[in-house]
Amino acid sequence: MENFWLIILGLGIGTFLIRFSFVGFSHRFHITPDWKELFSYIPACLFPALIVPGLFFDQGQVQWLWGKEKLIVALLALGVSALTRSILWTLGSGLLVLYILR
Amino acid sequence: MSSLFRKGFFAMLPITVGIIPFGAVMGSVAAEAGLSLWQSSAMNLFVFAGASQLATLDLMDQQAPWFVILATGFVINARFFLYSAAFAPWAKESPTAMKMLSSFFLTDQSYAAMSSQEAHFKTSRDGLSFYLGACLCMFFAWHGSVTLGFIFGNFAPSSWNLDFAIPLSFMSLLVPSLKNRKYAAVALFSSFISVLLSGLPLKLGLLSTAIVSLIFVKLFLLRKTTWKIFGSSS
Repeated sequence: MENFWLIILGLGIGTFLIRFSFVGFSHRFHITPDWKELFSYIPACLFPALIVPGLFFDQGQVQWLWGKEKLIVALLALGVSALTRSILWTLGSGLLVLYILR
Repeated sequence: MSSLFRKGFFAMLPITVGIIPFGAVMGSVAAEAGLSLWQSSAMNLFVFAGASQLATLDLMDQQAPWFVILATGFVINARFFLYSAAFAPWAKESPTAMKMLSSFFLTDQSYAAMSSQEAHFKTSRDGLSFYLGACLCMFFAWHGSVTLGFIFGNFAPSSWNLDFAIPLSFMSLLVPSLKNRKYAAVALFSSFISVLLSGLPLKLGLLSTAIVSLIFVKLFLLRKTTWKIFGSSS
């Protein structure tokens, strides 16, 4: 693979600069309470997009759940997560239920 | 080693259940694409962002032109602008070297691990220590699993559905940051938007969902005040 090292270097530097962008200049601007409040919504704005599409469009194997077993198990796990606030319980119960269903 | 650093490290451990199978895939794909172990490890070290690594590796394998490969990688990683903005307050008072180090390790999971514990940090330094601990754990998990995947092929047993651990762990990291109904409403809104926008290429659905949702927040949920970017707060 020609150019491999140049591409990796470019990709590495560029990705670092994206990550560094706001952090690097954070001391230059005053983060007002308004911005802080807006930033506090970033998890709620971003994480669902990491979670939902993959579950929604998953074509699973369990026929009596129309192949939507991941979506249904995830909703159960959401309940577990809200009750226990524990990643271990959420992961453990979610993975176990999906394993049993399949 | 401060206790918060250790807490961050251990908080990340369960999350690695989802990261390790992904790393195994990454390593096996790198080996199949004809990379040497050196090249695979260097890519991991310099880029440290799985989704963009998989996509660019695929393009390299297809002999795509270099600017296409770079542009693809940058578009996929553009979401880090948002993480950088969200993380900035925590690194604000740190020296430049620390800002660089903490930015270098910024990933979806390490930011998520920290933000889910936000309420427990008294100072931004506390948050930063916790975050760095989480980053170290993430670093070991990612490099370890990619290396093992490179050597042994995809080792994760597929019947365990370990890839399902990724959405599950993000879900359980999201829940604590939904402080009240407003946040829950925003999460519902962005779930809906993410499904609508999921057809966009290059994982652009992710970034565009976040931007649409932030605009929604700004327009409908925040107090109507005059906004200043620079200068003191009003």
